[in-house]
Amino acid sequence: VFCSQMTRGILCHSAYDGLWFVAAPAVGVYMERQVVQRAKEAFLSGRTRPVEFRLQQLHALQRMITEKETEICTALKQDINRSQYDTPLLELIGIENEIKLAIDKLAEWAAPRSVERNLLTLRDEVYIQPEPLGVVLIIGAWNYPWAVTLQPLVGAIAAGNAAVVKPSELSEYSSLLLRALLPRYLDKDLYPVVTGGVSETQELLRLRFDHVFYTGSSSVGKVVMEAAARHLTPVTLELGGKSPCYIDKDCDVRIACRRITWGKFVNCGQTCIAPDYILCEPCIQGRVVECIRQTLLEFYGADPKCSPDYGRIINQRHFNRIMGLMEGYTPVVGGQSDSSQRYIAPTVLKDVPPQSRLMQEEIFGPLLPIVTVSDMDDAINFINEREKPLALYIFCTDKKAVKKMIEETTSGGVTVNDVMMHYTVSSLPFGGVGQSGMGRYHGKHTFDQLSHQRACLVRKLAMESVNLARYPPQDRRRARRVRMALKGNLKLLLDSCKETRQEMEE
Amino acid sequence: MSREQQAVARARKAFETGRSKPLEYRICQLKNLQRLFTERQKEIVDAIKKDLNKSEQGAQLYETLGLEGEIGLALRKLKEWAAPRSVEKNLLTLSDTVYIQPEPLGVVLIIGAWNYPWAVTIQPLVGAIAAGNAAVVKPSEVCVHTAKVMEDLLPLYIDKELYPVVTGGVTETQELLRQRFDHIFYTGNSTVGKIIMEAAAKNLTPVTLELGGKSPCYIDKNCDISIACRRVTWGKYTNCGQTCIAPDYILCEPSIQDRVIEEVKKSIKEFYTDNPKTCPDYGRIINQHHFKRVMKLLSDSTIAAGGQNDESDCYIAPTVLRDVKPEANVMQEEIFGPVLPILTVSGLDEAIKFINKREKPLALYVFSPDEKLINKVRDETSSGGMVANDCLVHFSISSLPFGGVGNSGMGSYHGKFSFDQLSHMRSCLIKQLKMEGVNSMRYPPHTAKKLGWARFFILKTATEQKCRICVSCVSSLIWSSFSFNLSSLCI
Repeated sequence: VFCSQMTRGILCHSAYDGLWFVAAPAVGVYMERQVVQRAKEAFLSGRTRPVEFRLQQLHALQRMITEKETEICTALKQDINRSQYDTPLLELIGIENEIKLAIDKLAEWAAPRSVERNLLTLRDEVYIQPEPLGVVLIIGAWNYPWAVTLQPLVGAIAAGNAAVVKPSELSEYSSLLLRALLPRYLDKDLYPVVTGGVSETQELLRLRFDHVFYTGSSSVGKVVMEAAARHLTPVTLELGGKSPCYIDKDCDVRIACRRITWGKFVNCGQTCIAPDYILCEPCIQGRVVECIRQTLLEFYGADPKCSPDYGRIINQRHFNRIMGLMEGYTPVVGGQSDSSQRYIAPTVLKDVPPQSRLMQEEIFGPLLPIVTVSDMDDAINFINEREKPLALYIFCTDKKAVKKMIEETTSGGVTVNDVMMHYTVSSLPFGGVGQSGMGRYHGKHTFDQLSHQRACLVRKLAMESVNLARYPPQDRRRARRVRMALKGNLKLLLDSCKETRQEMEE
Repeated sequence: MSREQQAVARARKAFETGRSKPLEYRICQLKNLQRLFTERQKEIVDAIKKDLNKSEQGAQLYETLGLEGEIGLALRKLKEWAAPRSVEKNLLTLSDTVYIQPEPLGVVLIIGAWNYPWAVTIQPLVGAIAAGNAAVVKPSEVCVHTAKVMEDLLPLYIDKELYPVVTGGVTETQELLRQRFDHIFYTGNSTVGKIIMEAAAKNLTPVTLELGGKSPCYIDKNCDISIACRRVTWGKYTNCGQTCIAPDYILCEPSIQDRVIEEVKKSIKEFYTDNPKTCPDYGRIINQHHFKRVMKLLSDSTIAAGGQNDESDCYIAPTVLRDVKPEANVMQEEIFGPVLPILTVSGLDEAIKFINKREKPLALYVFSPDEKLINKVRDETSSGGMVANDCLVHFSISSLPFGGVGNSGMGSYHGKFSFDQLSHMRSCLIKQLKMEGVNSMRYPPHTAKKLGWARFFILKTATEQKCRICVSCVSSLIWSSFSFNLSSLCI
């Protein structure tokens, strides 16, 4: 995509199909309002209600991912220097998987869910009916722009909602490509894409939605929730934090470090569930460093700058931020950088003090600090002194110790003896707790998160005698009967109904 | 440090000791809570009578019985609810342990309401205790006597550090909202609900808001109007209309309006005698402020029944209004009082349009023998919950999630839903430091071939049964394709 900046917008020429289009913020403040209004009207038309419509949209989305894979990979290479294999591996296959699952299971997910009855409702229909919420706002992030925008969209479509998609402006090429592609495959009134920066997002947040799904930082998460509160809009916040990674001295350190190295440096460390820092005992620190060094050589070669598989930092601001975290420390691995390319080498730092800048904020970059602890209990205390992270990683072969660590800490999710993989299991709910977020998604959980689970009770205008016990005039005998009924004593209940009916007739 | 800050700090410290984690402890606390209701019925009932003029049986029926049921259910099911929940595995995790572990959140703030003070304050507490949390309980100051009883009795039965009761009004609540909690559970109105959520946002605290709204009640002309009206009358005038899920207003065709009014009048007489003021089963408006508020709502509509009132006693007779216009005062806010407006509509479609023009209500009621009609209402409207051919009773079914949608609230509770709402469902994946060969397809340097393998593994949908057959073929395939010797990995 060739882009040329103009005074009030960005004029873009798509190399793919020769189309010219203008991307936001040219059209002005009312565009967001109009777009949301149109989505609301489209939702109220009722066309998202039939399951067939939703399936059709999901199939179209599936086609988009398959047909435009090359374009998507190119956009990501320009945004973040993502390798052409990492994009399908980390984003597209996951999205495809979610779409497939939704298509397979939609009829089941959307059907009424029967529930356990009690004695009083034996003859009634009692069930939970999943329903669409209405218009969902999806605010994406820049690090996996397609995954964190489209996976929630899959759930929104499946649940029968309309959805306004606001991709992150930091992943500029992906954002513009999404804006060009989505309306060509999906219903463009129901699922509009709104591009833009802070002011466009703020304008969107002033409007009323039925759910807001945000992926990003905790500080903006608070702003999003505050805005949503004004309309009593429920939110899903997929935030971040510092995900600790504990390496037990008795485990296979070599394999542990391979897995950690992969998880840390993929996407140049810009992953919400990347192992942020390592905790281990001093006696294995040296070995950990060596294993990581060897693995890095294997993955990215002697000069990662030349590896097609090693990414870049998204922009100058983040580059400077990450470089600043390292100030005053000498890394034991890496440390090289090139500002013109926003390149930072895979870097490891040892004996990092807990009060250092590195340990004060989520790194979101290719710096891997090692903090030494005296033992597992010390590690547990360290973790619990800090905010609840999005993920916790434990490398340990002792089942009892693993159990203890899980029980004595909390986090969004846990993967033991690997990193990040809990993200790939669609039957596991993915989300944070505390500062790392609220709500969850993936697989059926996305569908449920973006639905209203409506409690339904269908009775008959018969058997009125059973109700008599609840009506005034209340007296001690009636109260006793109701108590018995609620406790499930059928014979006494039937007898008591007969008695009450006789009383009524009297 | 303010009193509120201290209570919260003490609760957090008590939570951090870990004593609420073991199930035995939680069961012990729940059993103690159970004892409170069996041993202290008299104090509870006396206080409710003073606050709301609820009869003894009324108090039991509508508050304590339900609570006792919830505690009993939690005691029976706690072990099951708190246990790890296994989930479906995929091909990549076949040999792994994959489960969801429910965990306590920490310190929960429960802000109660005054209309069913025990039910809406203690039911969430049951869930909080069952889930292993600490909980700061803030009863509504409007039900003065019940708040005092809660403040006096709860510490005598349950752990007073983990579950402190903090009484007070607006100032004390604001001070509480400045503290940091792990979840806030609020029952009340939408206006305050927004303030609560805004305050919670500052700490990224998740919330459950059980709010209200105008719950519509559609009566089909083909139903048994006598029974329908009896049920509606019960649902409306219980607790003097001060029920969040009371049928707020009736929608029906003009041809049955008179009949509806007649039947409602008949039921009112049956329940509350000719003089409800002297009937022990008929309640009072909670206070002067609400009395005045409700009386104002009557001013621009035609009274078809009732209308008598006595400010000194906060008494308003069971009242029915007819031919009410959508612009009338009574249709502008949740009534929360013993006033039942009837609005006429030309048919079901107009009723549905009417309902959908307004905020999503907490409950929706439809009276009809026609299943098709009921399904149409369900499919073309939305509400927290829906009941066909009765009122209120979905509240007492613990297997149904109770909560609102849109302006009527977010989150849900009762039974296991309370436990789940006040827990963190932690995803757990336990792998082994073996089979490293399988991971090669994700490591750089990347190749098209490796990507092909990844696609195969991730996109294959696998059920346990299919996998048992697959796994032997697949694992032999893996072992033959990949070498455990890292240096020979050149795929």
